[in-house]
Amino acid sequence: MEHSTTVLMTSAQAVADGNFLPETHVHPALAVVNLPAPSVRRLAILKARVSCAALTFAALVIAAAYIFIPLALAVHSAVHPVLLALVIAAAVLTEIALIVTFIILKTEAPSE
Amino acid sequence: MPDSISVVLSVLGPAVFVGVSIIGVRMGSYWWSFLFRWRRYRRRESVSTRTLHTLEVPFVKIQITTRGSAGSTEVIVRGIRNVVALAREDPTFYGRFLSVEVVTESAEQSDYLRQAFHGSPVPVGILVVPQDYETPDSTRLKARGLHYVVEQRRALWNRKPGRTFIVHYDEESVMVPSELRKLIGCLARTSKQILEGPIYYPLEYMHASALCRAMEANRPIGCYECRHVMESGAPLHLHGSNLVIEESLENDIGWDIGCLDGQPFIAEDYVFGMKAFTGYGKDVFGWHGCVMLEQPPFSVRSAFKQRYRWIFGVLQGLTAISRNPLFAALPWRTRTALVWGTRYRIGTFALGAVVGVLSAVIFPLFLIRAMESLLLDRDAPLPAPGSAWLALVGIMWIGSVFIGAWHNVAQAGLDRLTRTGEIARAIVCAPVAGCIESSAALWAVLEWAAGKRTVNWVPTPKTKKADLQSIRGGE
Repeated sequence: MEHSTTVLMTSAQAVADGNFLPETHVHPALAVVNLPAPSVRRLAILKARVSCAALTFAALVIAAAYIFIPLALAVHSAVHPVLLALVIAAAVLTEIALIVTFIILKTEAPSE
Repeated sequence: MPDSISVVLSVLGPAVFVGVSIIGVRMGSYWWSFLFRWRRYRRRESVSTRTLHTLEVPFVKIQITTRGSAGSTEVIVRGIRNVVALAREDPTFYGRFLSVEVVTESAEQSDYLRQAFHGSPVPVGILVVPQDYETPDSTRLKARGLHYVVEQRRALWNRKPGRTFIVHYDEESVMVPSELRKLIGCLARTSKQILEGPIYYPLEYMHASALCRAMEANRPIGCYECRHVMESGAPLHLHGSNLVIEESLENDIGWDIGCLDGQPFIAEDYVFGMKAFTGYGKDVFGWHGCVMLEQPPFSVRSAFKQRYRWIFGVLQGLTAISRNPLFAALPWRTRTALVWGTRYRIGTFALGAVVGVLSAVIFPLFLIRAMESLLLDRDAPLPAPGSAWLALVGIMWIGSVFIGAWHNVAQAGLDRLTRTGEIARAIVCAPVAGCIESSAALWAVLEWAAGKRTVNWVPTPKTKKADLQSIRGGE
């Protein structure tokens, strides 16, 4: 069983092959694609979730190595208990992450 | 073993720290614009066709300049179709002032495009640069095509009776209708003559290699600073797409930039910016803040060559501008700021490769020492201010990748889970991707320093197929 849905088209090759015209007032171009059966989709979603979780974990390891540990080390020289230094460093980074996210969201164009 | 770690840290540590600091100061300028001037970065308010009706809109010509190489036609069609999509909202209104001009070196491409957009609501004009065309100063490569159009316009080709802006696209550039409306609204009100806007890289996103996607994540943070550069009017860089120039000024300046010691320029945009600055001052520059979408290179090889060309081109431009009598007439302070500002940018880009490689050796040792200090209460490998500075540079570096990846994936047509995964992937790949692109810059600097001056214009392949052909062909 196949389901049809509408997705954002960003592939130039598909644009050229498909010979379609965009009818967009909102998005650049639209095309109809076929999605696989539900069981295959469920598997694909599970795979995507696992992949996303693994990548997020790896990204956090990188961020910890380049940001968290040097920051915790700096805080530790002023605040002796290690746990407190780690908590302060984590709190500072969380604040910064929130500020950055806020600005990104503000500079994203609102969808029409 | 611990002694050998200490020796490595004490020898390489200071060198890496200095390198990181030089790059960190550069990143600080990006972040200053990001944190404190973000309100000026984008035009968030949407502009409707009805609003545009109430404005005195200028004539807008969208110019796509291409060599007509393999794969370029498909991406050009994609860009024009988005313009056509805007025009369909009100064909009479947009058809009155909006037009598309394609300048190509391929007659075959010209025929295809003429046929594809016959009867389109906006006129699509195609100019084929004659094979034997020569500019008065023997300009070559892309600037040759750009100057050919200027000459045609000076001869009144597609002349419009009023203020006219040229919106420069690369082959693969796309502006979605909502951003085009904002741009037209901005141009209706601005007094500036050369404007730029941000570029993101969501197109063909998942078809590019993971390392290329990570490399492109470094770029959008630069757009925040690009706004500052354009508004301050010191053209330390000027990118050739999402570049909007008032036609009268472009006709005055032209693109006949000649050659440098017999070699053509590959960064014609940088040379044009410098010519505009020396001839017309800083007040002509401005920022329109409307986003253009482009695509990452498909392979690491293409990305490497692209970065190499950027740096080599800017080095060419710097040399040329230093010989320009108009530039020599500028105040010493302005000249120094422009030349050393550009050198600093190139230097930090190239330095990234050296710092990246040395860090790969030294950073694991630093981490071991840091963990020992935290958990076993041993001596810290760095004084507290040094560690804090490293953390700050780390925040700026990883943060810039995070910001860039977010902007890039936001419009790549991905679901939320994939977007999150892709942002994370960009961060994971960042150390390697950063080293690769910096090594392209370093290679360009070293070759320039060794006296290499020869260049060629091989545009970055715009489709996966063209990219594979280019790799197999050994271009």
